[in-house]
Amino acid sequence: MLSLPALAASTQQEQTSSNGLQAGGLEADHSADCMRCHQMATLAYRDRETGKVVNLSIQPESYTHSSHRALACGDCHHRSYQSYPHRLGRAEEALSCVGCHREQAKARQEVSAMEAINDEYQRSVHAALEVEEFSCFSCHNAHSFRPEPTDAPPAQRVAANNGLCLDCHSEQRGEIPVGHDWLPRPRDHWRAVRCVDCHSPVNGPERVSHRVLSGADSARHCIDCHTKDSRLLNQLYSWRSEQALTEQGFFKQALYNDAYIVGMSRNDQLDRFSLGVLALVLLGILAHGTGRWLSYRKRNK
Amino acid sequence: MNAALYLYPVWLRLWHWINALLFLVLILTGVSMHYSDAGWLLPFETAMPMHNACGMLLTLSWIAFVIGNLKTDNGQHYRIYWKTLPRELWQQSRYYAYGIFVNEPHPFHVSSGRKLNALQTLSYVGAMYALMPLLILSGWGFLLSALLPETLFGIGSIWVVAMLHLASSWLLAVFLLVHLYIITTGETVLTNLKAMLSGWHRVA
Repeated sequence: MLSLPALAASTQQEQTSSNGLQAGGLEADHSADCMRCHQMATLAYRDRETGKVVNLSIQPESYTHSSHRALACGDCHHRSYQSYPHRLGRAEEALSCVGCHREQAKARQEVSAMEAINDEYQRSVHAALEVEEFSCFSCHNAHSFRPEPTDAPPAQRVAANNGLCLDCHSEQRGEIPVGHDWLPRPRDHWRAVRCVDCHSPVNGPERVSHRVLSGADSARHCIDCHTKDSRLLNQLYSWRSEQALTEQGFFKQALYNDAYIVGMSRNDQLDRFSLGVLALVLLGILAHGTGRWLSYRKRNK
Repeated sequence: MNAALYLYPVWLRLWHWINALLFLVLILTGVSMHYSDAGWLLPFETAMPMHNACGMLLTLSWIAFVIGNLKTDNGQHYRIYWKTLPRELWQQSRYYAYGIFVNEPHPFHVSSGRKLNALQTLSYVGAMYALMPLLILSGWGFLLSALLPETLFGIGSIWVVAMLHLASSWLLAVFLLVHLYIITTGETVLTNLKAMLSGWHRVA
């Protein structure tokens, strides 16, 4: 998941002083002016060229819980909006996530992950297919997006993550998701793994790579995930064992550790025990055979 | 007196050696999948379809074995003689633990009506009629996992299936090791192996 600590984590005062941002979120004077119209749930228009309905509504509840909650409307939307309805749309504003987050990182003397993310995105299937009007905002609604905290339960993180993909890829919500007929129990996978866990390079960065891969290039082998040292497992569940140990106790954790098909029976204790018993059986056989041979030699002397 | 008993008809010998071959391939491919990150075994992509195919063939082979035992008198060898069981088990165990080292005569004598001693009967019945069905059913549980309910006995059903498959296959691997050794304890080291090849069991 995107890690965008720059804006959300900093206080309003810091932002104002270091970046000239007005901040104040929806409490700022001019924000209240904007929200008089934009908080209407039905505020929308039909685009004359594409015929699509463009939603202009901003839900205050979502915004105040989003990563951008500290920002006032004017911090991003610099143009003056004198005429109603406004003549210029989002496209003309050329809002840039990379630019803004780079500035933020620079001001905080941090290295922004945005450059790498942008680089990954440029090599992703979303960029390669030149999907119409595809941008950061296609997945990350600037007025509501908030990454799930890394210590949230996996099911919650997975659901939030996959929700982003499934909003557009709604055909994947069916019982037999398109192109996934090879995958056993797709619904279980949908609940337990993020789409991007398979649809991004296995050896990507610790955070999920934005280099979203096409179906053909994505992880397809059970073993990619279902092994003890699986990188994919680590990405999502790196903290899981520790949490499970405290919540479920040792025995249950030992039983369920890495528990799923290929990874499922890879239980170290069980493996060691069974190999140990096999070795003992072999030793017993060897000893018995040697005894027989020695007694045979003695008899035939 | 040297005599010979025809104990292993052609169908049984064919079944035995096909079963043995399938077992070896299943162990190799199964271990390759279980330790799929070891690096020196079969690649997972190769092992998986081989294991699935051989598992299906093993199912057929097991059904053939059961039908063969029902249709011919080979089935009688798997009868457990409960009355004499404790005594025979003791005699047989004592022979393997002691008698065999001091050249005592075999406590059990192969006959056309009974070719397996008490220990063999118990272990063969356990292997063929308890462990094999468990192994085969759990194998099919993997193959048809999409049709299984979410949970069995309150635990994830795939986990139950995996543990049953692992435990039964491992016990059968132990059986195979012991089987390979015990067949060398006939009249001579090779008597039993030769019998399973020719069908004729030499009686001393």
